[in-house]
Amino acid sequence: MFDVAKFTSIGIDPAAQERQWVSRCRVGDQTAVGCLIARHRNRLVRTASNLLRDRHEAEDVAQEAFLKAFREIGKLRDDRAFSGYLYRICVRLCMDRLRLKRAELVEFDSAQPHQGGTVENRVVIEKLLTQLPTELRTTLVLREMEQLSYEEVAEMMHVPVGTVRSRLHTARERFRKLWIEAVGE
Amino acid sequence: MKLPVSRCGRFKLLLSEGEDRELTPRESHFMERHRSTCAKCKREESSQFLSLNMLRAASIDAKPAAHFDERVIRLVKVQSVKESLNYWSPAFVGCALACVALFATLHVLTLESPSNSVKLKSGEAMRSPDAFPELSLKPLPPFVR
Repeated sequence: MFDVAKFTSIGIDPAAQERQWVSRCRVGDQTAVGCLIARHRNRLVRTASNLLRDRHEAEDVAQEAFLKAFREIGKLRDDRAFSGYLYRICVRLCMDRLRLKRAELVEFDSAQPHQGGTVENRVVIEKLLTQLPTELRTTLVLREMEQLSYEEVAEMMHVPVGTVRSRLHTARERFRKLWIEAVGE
Repeated sequence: MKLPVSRCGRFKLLLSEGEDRELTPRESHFMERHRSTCAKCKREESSQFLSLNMLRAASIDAKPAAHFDERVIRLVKVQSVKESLNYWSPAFVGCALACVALFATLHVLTLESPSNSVKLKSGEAMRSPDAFPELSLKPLPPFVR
């Protein structure tokens, strides 16, 4: 794996370092590309995994997000905006995939609520999340699992903060109801 | 105009907001009081607490595969080559077409064209007798004379 520490200058602000890498990427510096990938890969894959609940698919999405971000890096007006831009692409790609999956689920109706008994927490949570609309699910996961602030969620989903607040309220309420049905309280 | 919110509605709203910010003493007092009087809201509060805890616990801390970076870097290189090809391909095609046109023109010009002239020793040209146009004048009718 690419070791970002080798290329990180000691004492330089990470944000300033990233700006340097972005501007070097624009002129086709492969080392800078590697540094940017190494810096963001873990968080990107983790976010995609939590949204999609599938590690392999998450890697595909992260890869696609990197490719798209590097393809359009020339269009980026502000070098500081790279990380936000990258995560926004990733979240959007995840949402597109979730919409497709949801359409398949509606068609085949494979997501039946759990009827009693004991099952793994993760399996229950995955089933419950599939029953939420894509926007609510994404907001809930970004806030509760990724621990992002309202502003960060709003930036990633490209919606106002007020929309995030109301979506989160609805998502929590619906998730709670689904959870009660699932565990048969 | 602000619509009146029921106590239970306000409780739910503050319950959700309490997850993201610290409630004011007044709001906390309201929550405390309502909790002691409304069993339904109290149950909802505990179920929300449990469901969100379950959700947070189900977070996946996935790490990318060992060769993830190399794969992405390779794909970025392929992508940049493709892009430059796409960028330059109209120029290549135009260049190729111009070359073909030039070649064809030169070829046509260098071809020995069938000439109807007779070359003389002195370098002058004279039209060959075969090439003279045939004149056939009809005799005038007698009344014209």
